[in-house]
Parts: sequence; C-alpha cells; structure tokens
Amino acid sequence: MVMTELVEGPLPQWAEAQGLTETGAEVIFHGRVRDREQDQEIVALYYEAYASLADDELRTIGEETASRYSLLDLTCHHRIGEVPVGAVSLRVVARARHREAALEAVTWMVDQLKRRVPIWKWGVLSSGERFPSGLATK
Amino acid sequence: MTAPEVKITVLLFSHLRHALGSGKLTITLAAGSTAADLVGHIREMLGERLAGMPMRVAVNGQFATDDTILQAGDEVALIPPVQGG
Repeated sequence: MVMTELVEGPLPQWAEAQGLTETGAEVIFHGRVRDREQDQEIVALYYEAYASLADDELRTIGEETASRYSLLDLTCHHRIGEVPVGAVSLRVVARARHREAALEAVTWMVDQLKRRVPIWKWGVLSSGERFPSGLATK
Repeated sequence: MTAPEVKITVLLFSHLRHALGSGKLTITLAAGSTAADLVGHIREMLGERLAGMPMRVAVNGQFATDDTILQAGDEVALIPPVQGG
C-alpha cells in the first residue's frame, strides 16, 4: 500500500500501528523546520506548491520507492503553506521485512522528492516578510 | 490584418514569482508559439535577473517539451528548481 498526501495544516498525529505480522522494520523520517534559512533567522517556512503536479509526482515517487525496495507499505505526508520553526514538514514511513530495505527506501524517497516534486520554500521573517529560499536542490 | 494571437495564463513560483512580483500572469503570444517561445518571453521580462536558472514548463498540469505548441486558454506553469522536504 502506498499513500502520499500534501497537507495544509498540521500533520496527523503519529500512532503506532498494530498487527503488522510481516513487518520486520519500520523507518520513520520526520523533516523539521530549522530556525535559519540562508543565514537569516526565521520563524517559519512557507511551502509553495504547484499542487496538481506535486500530488501526481509525489504519488509516482511513492510507487517507485515501494516497488524498488519491495516495501510492505509506504506513507508520505508533506505539509504545504506556513510551517513554524520546529514543526514537522515532511513525514515518510516505510515498512519492510528487513531493515536495509526500509532505511534505504526512506533515503531514496526523500532524495527523489527534493529533486522532482514542485514544492518551494520561502523563509518567513518575524516581520511576516517572505523571501524565496536559495536555488540549491538539497 | 492582425496576426492571430493566443492568450494564456502563466503560473510563476519561488524566485520567478518574487522577481516578477506576481504568481499569475496573462500573456498574449502569436498563434503557434511554443513553450520555448514563452520561456524566452519570460527571460526577456526578467532581463539579467535569474539568468541561467533552469525552468521546466508544464501545460495544463502535465510536463511539456520545448516544442509544445500553446493553445488559447492553456494554463502554463514555469517551474524553477524545486526545494521540497
């Protein structure tokens, strides 16, 4: 099962799943908003998305990841809109029979997401002013 | 006689939005113009700003190629390097 979603507002609470009898490894990645962007102190990041294409591309990457690493299941939530410093902006959860696959799958998925999904960061200053983040893709 | 034209909606993101001061423009091009023609038009508007920054083009929610011909009413997104995560 692959589930991907762009989310406005806080992510759903993380809850431990029950009854996963085949799963030997569950890797949970949380990307959080740091307090600095391009050497400026910020209060939040604003995630801008080209939503229709971002939805499709995120789902495609999720399906590619699950297939490539033979995952039992994969979920990915990415917040869009304003996310305060310290909050989780990205969650990826990969379950597999063995840990190598789950660990590598999360790394690969996040790398692909950063290269391919049309989402952009804007730093938000305490004044409320926003500035587009640098052009680096990582 | 006036040459035929097409009016399209252009969506701009990140540095493009910032540089041009808007996330959405309506642009009129000569009929038969391509995605590459539109990118050239936008680069002219930018002048020296963002020179060399790559841009991908999506038309009506699908990635397009340079030679995709734009039609009246198309929604065209100009996609600078992405930064999710």
